[in-house]
Order: sequence, then C-alpha cells, then structure tokens
Amino acid sequence: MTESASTTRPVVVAHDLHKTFKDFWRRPKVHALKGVDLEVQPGEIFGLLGPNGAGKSTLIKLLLGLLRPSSGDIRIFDQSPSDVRSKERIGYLPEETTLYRYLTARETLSFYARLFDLDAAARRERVDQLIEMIGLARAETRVVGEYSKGMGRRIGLAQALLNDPELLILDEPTSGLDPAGRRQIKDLIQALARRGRTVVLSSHLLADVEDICDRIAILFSGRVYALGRTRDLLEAEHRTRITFPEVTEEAMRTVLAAIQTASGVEPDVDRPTVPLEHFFLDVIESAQQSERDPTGATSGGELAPFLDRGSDHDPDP
Amino acid sequence: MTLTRNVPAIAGLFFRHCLRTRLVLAVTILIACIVLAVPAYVDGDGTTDGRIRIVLFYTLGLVSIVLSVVSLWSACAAIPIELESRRLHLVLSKPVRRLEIWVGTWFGLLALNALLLAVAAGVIYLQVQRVLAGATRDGGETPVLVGRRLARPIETVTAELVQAEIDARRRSGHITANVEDRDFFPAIEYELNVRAGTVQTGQTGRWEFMLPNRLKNNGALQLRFKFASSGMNDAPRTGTWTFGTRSEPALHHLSGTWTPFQYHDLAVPMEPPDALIVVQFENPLLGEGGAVIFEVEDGIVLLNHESGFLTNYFRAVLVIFLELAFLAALGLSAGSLFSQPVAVFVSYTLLMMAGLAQYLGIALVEDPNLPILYDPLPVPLINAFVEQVARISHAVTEPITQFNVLSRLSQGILVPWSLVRNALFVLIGGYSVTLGIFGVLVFHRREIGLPRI
Amino acid sequence: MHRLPVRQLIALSGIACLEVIRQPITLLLMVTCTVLTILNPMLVIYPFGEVGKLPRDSALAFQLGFGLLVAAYGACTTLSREVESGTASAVLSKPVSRENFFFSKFLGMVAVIVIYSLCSILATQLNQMISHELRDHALLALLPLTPVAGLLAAAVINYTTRRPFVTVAFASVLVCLALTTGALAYGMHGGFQWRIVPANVLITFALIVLAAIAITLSTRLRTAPTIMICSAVLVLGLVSDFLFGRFTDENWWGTIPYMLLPNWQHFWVTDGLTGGGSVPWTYVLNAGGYAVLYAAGVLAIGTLCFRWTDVQ
Repeated sequence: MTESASTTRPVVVAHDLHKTFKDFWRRPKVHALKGVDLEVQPGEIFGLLGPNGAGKSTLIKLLLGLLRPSSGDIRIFDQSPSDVRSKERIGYLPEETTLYRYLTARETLSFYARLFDLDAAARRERVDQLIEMIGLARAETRVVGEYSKGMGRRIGLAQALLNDPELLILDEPTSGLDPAGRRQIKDLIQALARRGRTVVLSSHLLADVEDICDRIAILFSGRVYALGRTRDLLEAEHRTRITFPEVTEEAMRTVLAAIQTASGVEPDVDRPTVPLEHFFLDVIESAQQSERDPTGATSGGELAPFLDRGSDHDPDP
Repeated sequence: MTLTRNVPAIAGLFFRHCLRTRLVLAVTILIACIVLAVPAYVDGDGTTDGRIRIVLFYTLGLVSIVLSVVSLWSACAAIPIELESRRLHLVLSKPVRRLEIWVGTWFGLLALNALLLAVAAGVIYLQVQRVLAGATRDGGETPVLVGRRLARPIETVTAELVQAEIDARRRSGHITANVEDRDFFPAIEYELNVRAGTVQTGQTGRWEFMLPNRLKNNGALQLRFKFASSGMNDAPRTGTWTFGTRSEPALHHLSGTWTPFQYHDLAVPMEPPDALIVVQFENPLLGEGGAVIFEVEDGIVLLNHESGFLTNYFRAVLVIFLELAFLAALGLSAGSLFSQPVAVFVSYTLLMMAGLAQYLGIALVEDPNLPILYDPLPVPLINAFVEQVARISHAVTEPITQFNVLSRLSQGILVPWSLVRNALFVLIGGYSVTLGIFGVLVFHRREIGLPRI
Repeated sequence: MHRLPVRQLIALSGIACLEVIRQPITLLLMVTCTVLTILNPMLVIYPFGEVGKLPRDSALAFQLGFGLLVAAYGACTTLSREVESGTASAVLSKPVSRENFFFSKFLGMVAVIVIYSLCSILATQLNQMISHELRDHALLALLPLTPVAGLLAAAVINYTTRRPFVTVAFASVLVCLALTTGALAYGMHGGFQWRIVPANVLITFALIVLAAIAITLSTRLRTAPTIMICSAVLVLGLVSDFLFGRFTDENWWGTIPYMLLPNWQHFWVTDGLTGGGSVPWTYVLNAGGYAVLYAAGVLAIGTLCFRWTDVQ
C-alpha cells in the first residue's frame, strides 16, 4: 500500500453490514453476515479468510450487487453496488469458472470485452494480449468445454482483467491451478497491486494469502474476528529469529552462550528449509525446458501490456 | 447508452450458443421430416389445389407448432440455465443491466426463430413448387396460390328474426313454456342461417354483397362457393349463377355443373359495381339430388386478386414470426421468475387458460346468461366471481386469437398488411412489451447467487 | 455379501424417488392433474349419453397426459443431471456396479409413477362421485378443496417443522384424497368403482414404459433432446396403428417401426368401461406383460449404453 493510497477515499466500505437469508415465510433461515465493518484502501491487496460458511462469498456477492444487504451499508467506489457504472471499474473472478462451453477462448473473451466501452481495435488488442499472458495462445481455437479446470481458470482470470479494472475481486483465485499456475497468479496480483490496482481476494489457502496480502480480515459465522495488516497479525510476540550462513561449531557455541548469558534462556537451533512450493517450482521449471505441455497451455508470458500502466513500486513491507 | 452495446452482444451470444448446441440442426431435421411425411399421410381431394392446401395448412401448421414449442422451451430455459450454471453471475459483474440481459436474450430468441422459420418457410415453398411442377393444369391462375381480398354476403339472419322465430314456435307449441329463450337462441340462429343458405329444387337463392373500396378497385371479381347436396352424395349438381345489381339483378348468367363438398372458383362476368352486387343461384326444377346447401361459414364469398402468392406467403410467415416472438416473451418472463420446468408449466398453463377463456367467453358472448358451471353453486357470489373471471380472461386473451393466417393462406385469401400491422401492434407492442416489463421487473428484483441450502 | 447389491438397489432407488418427488414440477403436475380430474365434471357442459362417461374419459386422459410429463421429465433428469453434476461419479466410486446404479434410477421412477397414479386413481373416483351427485351442492363446493386441503396441511407442517414443503405436500395430498374418497365411498351413488381401477393401472404401465425409454435415452443425451425424443415416441406410439399398422402386411418399413414403437393404444381402454362394462384383469395382466417385456428390452439397451458412458 502506498502513502498516496492511504490518503484517498477507500475503494470498498462496508458498514454494519447484515445479510440474512429467509425462508418462504420470511423467517430468518441463515444469518450469513452479522454486522461486518471493513474498508479496503486503494492499491492494497486485501484478503478475506474464513472457513466454509463464514460469509466470504456472500460478502463478495454483495460487493457485486448480486445480493442486496438486509441492513447496513456497502459502497464501492462510493457508489451502490447495484449501480451498473461501478462495474466499469471492477474485475471479478468467481470461485467456479463458469463459461460458455461451446465458445472458444477468443470468442469468450471477445464477448465479455464487448460489454465494456471499448472500440473494436482495443478489444482485439486486449484479447490478444491476455491470451498471450495466460499462455493459451496455442489452445485459443478449442472450445472452452474441452479445457481442463486449470485452463478454464486462466480464461476466468483473463476475463476479469479485460477492462483493466481498478478493483479486482478474486474468489479462490488459485483453486484448481497447479503450483506453477498459483505462483503465476500470485505474481500477477502483486504486479497489479504495484501498479496501483486494488485487489480483494478470498482464499482457503493461507500460504497464498500470507504471501501476497497487505491486510486481511478473518470471518467466522458472519462476523469479522480479526482485521489488520498481515504482518502485524502474524508477528509472534516475545520471540526473535536470527538467520546467518553456515558457521563452525565453535562459533555457534560462542553465539549460543552469549545469547544464553544475555537472556537467561536456551535458544532453539535448526536449519531453515526451502518452502515446498519453491522446491516444486524449481523442478518444474527445469522440466519445462525439455518438455512441451500436451494440453496446449503454456506457462504464459509477462503482464499484458495494457495492464502495465501505473508506477511499479514495491508493496508496503 | 449501454443498451446498444450490450443487447447485440448478448443476443449474438445466445444465438451462437443455440447454433453450437446443434439445436438448430435438430429442429431443421425435424422440419424436414414433417415436410416429407405430412403429404404422404394426409389425404387431399386428389386435385393439385387440394395437395397445395395440405402443404400450406397441415405442413405449415405442424411446423408452426414445432417452432412454437421450440421458441417457448428455449425462452423458458434461457435465464434459468444461465442462473443455474452461474454464468449469469459473471455477466452481471460487468456493466450490464438486467434489462439488457432480458432484451438481448429476447432478440437472440427472435434471431433463432427467424432462422428456423426462414428454413421452414423456404422448404415448404419448395414443396409447393414441387407439387405445382408435377401437376398438369390447363392454364389459369391456381386459386390457392394467390392473395385475394374477400367479401362475405350481408347477414340476413338478425337477432330480431331469431326472436321472431322463437316466438312463432312458442305460439305453435313447439317450444314449451318451461324452457327459456336463451336455451334455444343459438340453435335457432344456426338453423335460420342454414335455411338462408339452402336452395330448394326449383328455387333461387339470393345473396347481396357490399363491396369494400379495395375490392372494387382491384378489377375482376371471383365467386368462391362450396355446397352440400341434400342427397348427401357427391354427384355433381347443375345450376345457374346470376349476377347483377339491386335494380337489375339478372345482368349476367353462368350455368354449369359442380361437385359438392369442394371449393369452386368462378370468374364473375361483370365489372364490380359501385353499389351492391347481387348474386343468385338457381337450382333447376329438373335437377336431381334435391336441395343445395351452401355452408354457413364461407359457403359463398366474393374475392378478387390483390396479391401474388409469394407476397401473401411472406406476410403470413411474418405473422407467424410475430406469434413466435410473443411466445418467446412469455417464456422469457416465466423463466425470469421460475426454474425451467416450472416456467414451461406456467407458460403452457397460461396458454391453455387463454384457450379456455376463449371457449367460455365465446359461450358468454353468444349467450350472456349461459352458466359457466354445469350446475351453478348456490352461492351467487361464487357464480358472479367465476363469470367475471371468465369475462375478463376472454377480454384479455381475445386479441391474441385473431391472427390465424393458415386458413387464409391455404384458401388463397389475402393476408393483408393491416393484419401484419395489427399483429405487430397487438402481439409485440401490446402483449410482448407488457410481458417484458413484468419479466424485467421480476428479474431486476431477483437476488442472484442465493445459497443452495 | 450377496445381499449387498439388493441393499444398494433399495437405497439408491429410494434416493432417486425422493430426488424426483422433491422437484417442484412433479408436485405441480400431480396437483394440477388431481384438481382438473376433480373439477372437470362441473365444467363439462353437455354430458350427453352415459352419466359420468365424459368426465371419466377426461380423468384417464389427465392421468396419461400429466403422467407422461412426470415420467419423461423425472426420468430424464434423474440420470443425466447426476452424471452432469458429478453425483454419479461419487456414487460409482463406491462398490456400486453401473448396472445397479442405472436400474435403481428406473426403480425410483417406478415408485414415483406409482405414487402419482395412486393420487390419480383416488381423484378419478372422486370425479365419478361428483358426476353422479351433480345436484349435491355441498359436495360440489367441498370436493375440489381436497387437494387444496392437502397443500394447506403441507404448508402448516412446513411452517411448524421446517420440513421440505414439496415432499410433505406429496404425502399430504395423497392422504387427503384417500381420506375423502374413503369417507364418501360408501355414501355415494355407486360407491368406490373398482371397475375403473384396471384402466388406471393400464395407464400406469404406459407411464412405466415411457420412463424406461427416457432413462435409456438419458444415458447418452442431455435433458432437452431426451424430452424431444420422448415426445416424438409418445406421439408416434399413439398413432402407430394409423401410421404404420396399416402397412404391416405390405412393407417392411411399416412393420419394423410398428414393432419397435410402444403401442399406447394397448393401455387406453376407456371404451371398455362404457355402459357399465369392465376391463378383465387377464387383459391387464397381458398388457402388464407387454409393458414389462418392453421396458426390460429398453432397459437392457440402456444398461449397455450406460456401461460405456463417461461419468465425469
């Protein structure tokens, strides 16, 4: 999150938001959201966490204007989500990629692109760039019904980016993707955030959220139980970790003794491990240099040029 | 502003989806089967005109029914399937209003109907040409393959006449005092009409026609008639037609022999007069077979050529297309509220209720006192309620039922542009737009993505 | 171990039956059929000839017409939906054979059709009571309320216990019809007319045959084409005597479709009931045999097709 972002108006504001699903007799059946308060600032990556049934999807559907709040207020770009103009600035990737199975990738993206105020040339250009970006250039003439789940997911992501959205709402963006695809999505999200776009994502994969989110909200049973900067929330109090290169046994003993003398407690010693994701990606990367993916999907390219606007700055540490 | 951008996109998507799911292919094959099968199974009267009538009435009729079913079912499925598959969530996350989705889908359905109807109409037209090519005609215009304007005789059986007849029968004791007039009215009216169309041996029947201006200006008139013989056999009958005006009723004569139970067309040997034209038929005293009975409905009419077949056919197909568009609006509105099977059920129920309302309504119009129920309940309020519902339903559904073009087309009667205009105004401007407003409102209010619990 | 497939069959059939019954369209069709059956003696304006004949014929026609929709739609959706939604793959990942799974769907549909037909049998009896007691205004006013009372009872149960409305309504309408018929059977003209029941049973056989065809088709086709083909089979089967029957002695192209298509006329015996007549149970058994053999043949093809169906 940038300094300038924090001084501007929030992209999303939810205030005392309630959503209750009712039965035929108008009696409450499920209280999906119970007084949710949150704000999402421009340029930040905001994570929605929670177990199944916590209310994440309901919150996203309220953001999109698909559902209406039972009480409370929700604003997006200072507009009601039911105001169709707000959708010009939003990109949405649903939890399940539901596409028209008889259309090809290009036709699918062209259709969604036509729903925005883009001229034909701009539409074509963006579709070309996105197909290249998601690595489906060699499979673009196949109908979507024949795609694997991961390929469908990539199309889903591409359609969410067609309008170069200021706010990207991603529901389980990495579900159904292989580790390489997940890494790519995470890199993409971070790249977009660095260029000033706001991202709201919901995920069960805590490692993903931890990797990329600036702030998170943890929902349970329709309430926000934790809200704040990811680092602040995860910081283990009263513990310190020192990492240094391989040293001799004697040097290690000296250091440990010094710590024990200074603090009065005996420190734990172990060797740091590489995360499995990193290890896996290294193996796949070397394999990809000799093999070609039989599905027609490739690892994709860089960020599509039309998305590459805005200053590339490091996210707030 | 987004309307012009989004509606074509959604319509195009719907149309392409239908093409790719092979719906169009399946329906085209079905239409081809009907076109081939119907003439093989429905017996005509053996004449070329009869065969053409079958193609135009039964084949086009059956194809219209198939297309109606396809149109209604596709419309009922359009929104529920999008909802169920959750594709609609994605579309609604774009700057698209629900109105645009509804209208776009409707236009997509119109395009689908237009394509299927064009294919069907083309195939049926070729079938007509095939029948025509195989026929051995001795020249002259085929009485079916034209569009002719029609005039019916001035009605002679009035309500007063019927009432007078009932009174006479009461006086003579044929109707007893415990039976009310209304129980006999329709039967007596029909009987008098049949009597008016009956020409006994040695007598002359007389009909007067008030020609509309269009009919007068179109040139040569034709007389079309169909009669039954009181001998109830199909032995040809001899007679003489006389044409003239009120002042000179016997200006021209035409004698001949004609077969009962078939339509016959005769060129009227006089220019259309400014005033009334009087047509008479003389059933000769020496003739065999007894009385000649002209049908009450369309037993004797005057026609003249106004349009060629192709343009008449085009207008008829246009009216059918407008009917399909109305069905699409009905199905789409039902689908905006219900799941697909329930929407189909509701649509068919509404159409059947419309039919029933017509049936009950016609009974009411003919006899305002006719009870709807076989035996009215002893609660006047319920009876009044049932009757009012029937009346309102009749009034609401009556305008839809006036666009039967098949019988016109198969008899070579003009399908006028005014009918197409009326269909456009009533079916699209009136009913489809009303249904559309209802459908869009319901769809707009509907929450999308409710949990499946 | 040998009892396992039977247990599976019962469990799977029960679920299949419940799934079809829980679809609102099934309830709608059943209630509409019942209401129309009970109401139509009052709406038939000129019942010439035998008292109650026209309403009885209409009642049987309603049972056939609405039943065909229940059978075709229920059967189409019970299998193809499960294959599409992935439920089938979850069940087939258990030690359940494809044959057992397929046959259980058919049995589930048979159960639905039997329940539907029970309602129709009771409604037909009420229809006859009304036809014979047209002057009894109290009866006229109350009888059409029977299915409505069933729906109201279901609404009350749904409100108080939160049980699914559609399932409860199916049961409560049936119970209300049974209670009303039972209560009136001995006080009415003619009482319970057992002679009509075989005609209802024969129509039930026809519905079972159509369900077998629909389930077999849905192993390969999606819902819409299955319903389209079922409708075609229905229409062709109704006019099979006219379309093909008259050519059976002359042409092979008349004989083959005549043999292959189900002849629905075997199950339509309203004329046999005219003038107080009855349908012999031996005929019902013969027609039942035809239905069983036809359904068995169709299901055998369906089993083979389903063996090679990709379940995703």
